[in-house]
Amino acid sequence: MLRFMLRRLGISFVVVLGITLLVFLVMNVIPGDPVRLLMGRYMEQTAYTAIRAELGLDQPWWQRYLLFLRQLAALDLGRSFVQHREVTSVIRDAFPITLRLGVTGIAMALLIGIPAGVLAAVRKNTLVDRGVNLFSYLGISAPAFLLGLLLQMFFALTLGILPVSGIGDGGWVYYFLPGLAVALPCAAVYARMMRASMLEVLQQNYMVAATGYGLPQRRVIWRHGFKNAVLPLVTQGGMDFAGLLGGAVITESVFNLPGLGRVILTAVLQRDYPVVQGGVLVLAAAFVTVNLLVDLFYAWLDPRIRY
Amino acid sequence: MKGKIRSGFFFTLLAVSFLLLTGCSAESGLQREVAGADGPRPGGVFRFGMTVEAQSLDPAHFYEASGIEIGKEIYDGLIAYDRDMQLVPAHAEGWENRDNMTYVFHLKKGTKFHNGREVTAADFKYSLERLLDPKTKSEISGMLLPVQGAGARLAGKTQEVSGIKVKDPYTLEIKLEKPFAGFLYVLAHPGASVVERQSVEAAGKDFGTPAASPETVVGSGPFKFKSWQPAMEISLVRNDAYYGNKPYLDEVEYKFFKEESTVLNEYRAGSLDFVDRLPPGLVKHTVSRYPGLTRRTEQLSQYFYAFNMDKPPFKDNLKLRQAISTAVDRNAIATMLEREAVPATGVVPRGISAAAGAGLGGDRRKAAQLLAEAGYPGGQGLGEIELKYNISEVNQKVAEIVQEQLRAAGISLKLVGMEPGAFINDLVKGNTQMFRFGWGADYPDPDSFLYPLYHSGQIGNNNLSFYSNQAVDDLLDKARGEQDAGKRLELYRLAEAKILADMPAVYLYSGVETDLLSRRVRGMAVNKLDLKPMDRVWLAE
Repeated sequence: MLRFMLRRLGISFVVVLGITLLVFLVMNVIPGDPVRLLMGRYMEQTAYTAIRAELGLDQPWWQRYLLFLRQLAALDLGRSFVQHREVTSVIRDAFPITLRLGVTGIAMALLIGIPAGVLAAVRKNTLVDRGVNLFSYLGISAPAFLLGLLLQMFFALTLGILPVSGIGDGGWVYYFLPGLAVALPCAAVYARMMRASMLEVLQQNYMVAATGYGLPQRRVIWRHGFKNAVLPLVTQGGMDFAGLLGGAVITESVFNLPGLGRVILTAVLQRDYPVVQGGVLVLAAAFVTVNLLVDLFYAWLDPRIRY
Repeated sequence: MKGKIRSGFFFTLLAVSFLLLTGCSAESGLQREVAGADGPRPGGVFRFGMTVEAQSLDPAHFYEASGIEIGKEIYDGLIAYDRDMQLVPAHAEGWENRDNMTYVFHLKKGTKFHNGREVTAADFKYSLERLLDPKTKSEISGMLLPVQGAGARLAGKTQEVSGIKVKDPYTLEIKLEKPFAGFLYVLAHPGASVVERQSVEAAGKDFGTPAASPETVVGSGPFKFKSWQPAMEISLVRNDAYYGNKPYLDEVEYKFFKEESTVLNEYRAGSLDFVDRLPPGLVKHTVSRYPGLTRRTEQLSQYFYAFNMDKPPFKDNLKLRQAISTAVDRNAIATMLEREAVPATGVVPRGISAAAGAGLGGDRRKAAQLLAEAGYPGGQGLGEIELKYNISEVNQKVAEIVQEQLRAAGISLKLVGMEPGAFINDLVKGNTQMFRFGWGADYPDPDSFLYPLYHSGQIGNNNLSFYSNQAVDDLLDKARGEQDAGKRLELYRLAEAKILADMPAVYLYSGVETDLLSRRVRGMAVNKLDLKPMDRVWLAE
């Protein structure tokens, strides 16, 4: 187990470093000069030259990459070209927001998706099953933007019970709607997966035996069926959670949450290289960490799995 | 195209929301008129919604509209604008200008920074020199280049700017390289505000960023900095020790939104007093939904398609440029943009232009005739002309309608919508035939358009058409040296007429800004530079 962990950590480290190099190369290949974008219509050549030199952009890309690595070793991610503050400060503001949205989102998705799927499987071919099926179709196909706005209009404007947008004092209440917006599409997938997997489990011999012993139905389903049926969902949930950390840009925009996804997207458009580099680094690190945790969780859930 | 699809969704949503809201009583509550004004009521928190986030509260980085909007309340300089855009004293009590080259400013005594220290001439010298320090990386340092020794300082060759001298604590002298009558306008730019040296040095590289400690954001303007939640909100409080008109409001909260529909939803929920610059496409709906609460202001800005005067097919082919200008129907464009645009006739917007403009175009027959005279009868032999523009909903719509109009005249246009970074690169390199450009006034004077865009000395800077005409250069130089306002205007009129005769661009329209106010807002004005001074604003009950 320990050897497995160490090996995984080693590989993760290389992967993350590889990603930073890749991002560095891509940012340098795509056209667009950060200083030109920064100065916008103030295209004064003297000022342009001065800023470029000051930002070190007159050096070749590999020299700048080496500098990036050297700074990274000292946990310094450099300074944003646009915001003029340290990238670590930018990330410190943005990442907790993203993390909260991800946690709220995945928790809600599981809380909605799993019971819905189990219910649909147990009540196969009834109205309940069809209802869950319809919900799944809607959830999977609804665009994030539309979903976000509809939730906003219904809960915040028509009912007036939740804030429209923003993070206010940082309370969880502000994450309810955006969380729901990212949760619904995931929940739709989980409901379907859970239904299929539960149906399969229900036909297993041990389930029939459990029922045969006269155990109550509820206990058979949740204790014996559920734990076996939920396995595929762990992988999917883990991947979704990791994905939410960088990919909820549209929801973050609709609900005005300045999370990391939004910060990186803006930085790419502005060619704010240090912020893109640092942001992607953090996302990549978060991604591999979540994957590692999922693997460990998997082993805990299913004792047959050993690394 | 993406934007289009999105706005489609939005209208579907609007329909849905109307259904949901039918019978809601909040709307009728809003109809209640506020009882007559008994004069300004002090106090209250003004919630100002904007869709573009401010990047920095360091005057050296006041190159973008949101930073300037907020920064102008915290900082101020030697000179300011009044409501009619006339230059009025700020920290300077008065000034002398004998030859448009040497300016002497006499400072008011006893004006204070927010931390209580007195503002003196040395502070101005420090602030202006700081802008020109290459280490400051100021995007707007170029505006001070007319000052003697500024170029050398920016290039890192000197430590001081020879043209800026402190005569005594209350007298500052600024000498220019060449006469520049508009220089006072430069000093009225919020970027040329005075900063407090100790605070700047205490904050170091973090000065003006959310990472700096709040006590270091020290200006001398009507409002003081309070807090900054990055990408969310900047809030200011009244400066009770302000030497000028003390504001009525207790606080102003500038709130940033990424999504246009979100800011409108917040307004609907009653959490905003002002929505800055309604997005095109939502204006018509918003105006009819909130009658009497929107305000429309013509901007001193010009939207145009410039020609590359240095490359075929436009080089040395005036007739071809005229043919295109004649074929484009400005009125149709303005109508398509829901009249959120004023058809342009000249280089300079009508608010400050003295010249008689060119026509509004849309004359197909004359365009065809000019095209034939240009050597391309019926468009034969001309081939496809590339029109480059940075992708946005408006730019795409305008490009499509112009493409249609030109096709009818026999000219075929290839639309090249580009990502902004790549687009600017091509402009600077001259890798263009025809390209979209927009220009907003930095100061309410024709010089702000004519000089940067058309003086041949600005090739390599903002003269991206590579336009060069000695007669125009001479007129623009002469105007900068002219003391008499009337004569100057006449020189600009002549210069603009000459440029129009050369037709280096097709001027399409001047922008219009529409803002949305809550019922309790009073005394709010939008000035010609699109700024909203908050010192006279108050909130009714």
